Amino acid sequence: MVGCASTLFFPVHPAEKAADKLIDDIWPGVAKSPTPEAKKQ
Amino acid sequence: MKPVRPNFWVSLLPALIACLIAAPGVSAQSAPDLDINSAAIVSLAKSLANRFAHLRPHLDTGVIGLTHDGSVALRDSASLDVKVLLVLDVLIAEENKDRATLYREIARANRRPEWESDLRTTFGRRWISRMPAGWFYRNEQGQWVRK
Repeated sequence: MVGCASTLFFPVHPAEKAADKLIDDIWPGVAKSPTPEAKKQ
Repeated sequence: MKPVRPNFWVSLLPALIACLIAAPGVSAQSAPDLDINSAAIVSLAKSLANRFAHLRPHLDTGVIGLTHDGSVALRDSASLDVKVLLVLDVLIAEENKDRATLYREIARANRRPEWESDLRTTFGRRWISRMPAGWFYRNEQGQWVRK
């Protein structure tokens, strides 16, 4: 039940933006094109 | 006009809940950005970036690969000298420790420690999506796949 609640309220889109931003920092010039949202952050 | 009974509104609740479950992306689109600027997260990102220079040759040759759950793993060590393999084992362990700490720190920085598992899954998906063609990843079925 806790897992269901966590998944239901987990902000997927902001989490993906955060991941893309950090991946750009960790793999500079290597990662395939980031999402437009990650570029703006 | 016929009055609406309270039971009518109660009967709508299951449908409303079903709609919320079926469309999580609607609320996600308007959710605020996650905080990824804490000192711990910045430090972990630097550590991962520094280690990447050592891991990249092994990612390029397919000796190691990414996993669906946001880690890295040894894939094919047949071509490696024992000394290189020992060093690589340490690098992989350090990398996975940093990655696990990163997911935990992001959850903590956003005051939602229960998100750690979902963050790991999301990062796993994004690492694989963003990695160059030719690298390998291990899917949920445990199979290695070349991108």
